[in-house]
Amino acid sequence: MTRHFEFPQGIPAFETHKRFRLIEKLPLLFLESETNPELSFLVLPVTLIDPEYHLALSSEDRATIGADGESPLLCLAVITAVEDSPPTANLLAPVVVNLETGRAVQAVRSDAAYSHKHPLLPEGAPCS
Amino acid sequence: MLVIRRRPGEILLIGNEIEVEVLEIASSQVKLGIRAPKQVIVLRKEIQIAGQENLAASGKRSHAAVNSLLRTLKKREPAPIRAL
Repeated sequence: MTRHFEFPQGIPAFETHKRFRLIEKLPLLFLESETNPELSFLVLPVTLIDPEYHLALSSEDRATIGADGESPLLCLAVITAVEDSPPTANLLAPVVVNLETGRAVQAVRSDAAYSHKHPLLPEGAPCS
Repeated sequence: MLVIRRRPGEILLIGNEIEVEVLEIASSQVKLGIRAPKQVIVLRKEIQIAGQENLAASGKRSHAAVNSLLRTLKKREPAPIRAL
């Protein structure tokens, strides 16, 4: 199953990529750019990483995705899983999708409540 | 780090062309006005961090890292993926 999302502002460092599709290879999810399918991000539902995660959505981000208090939101953490370092999740800047409008934004928090390199493996676990 | 005290309405200069004015202060926030040449990028620091992390995340994924992630996920309670 595929869903298409519109990012009116792109995402930081990839501002020209305005449309992504969500690809499910459960339990993994991927956001693939429709501008250039070679650009894709591994993402996971934020609640899978931190069931207590408290979303902070600025009024600007809320307006970008057309969300009111009732909107069904999908909240995804971008995962960094590259060579030579254990995988981490970016909880500073979750991707937030309004499932009603299909519009999405990477909601970068201004507070320091969450890390952009939240460790995903139990401490001391070997990365192989 | 250079530390300067300023009051609302006061301005400081960075080089000859960049002005930072303190517009308003509140208990936990400062409102700043910035005048700078067009080619100067003015960015909230966390946006820069998010951009750098996006660049890192867009790099070649490691099978080893993804596999260890999958093993960790399997050990956890399956969380519902809402409304997909």
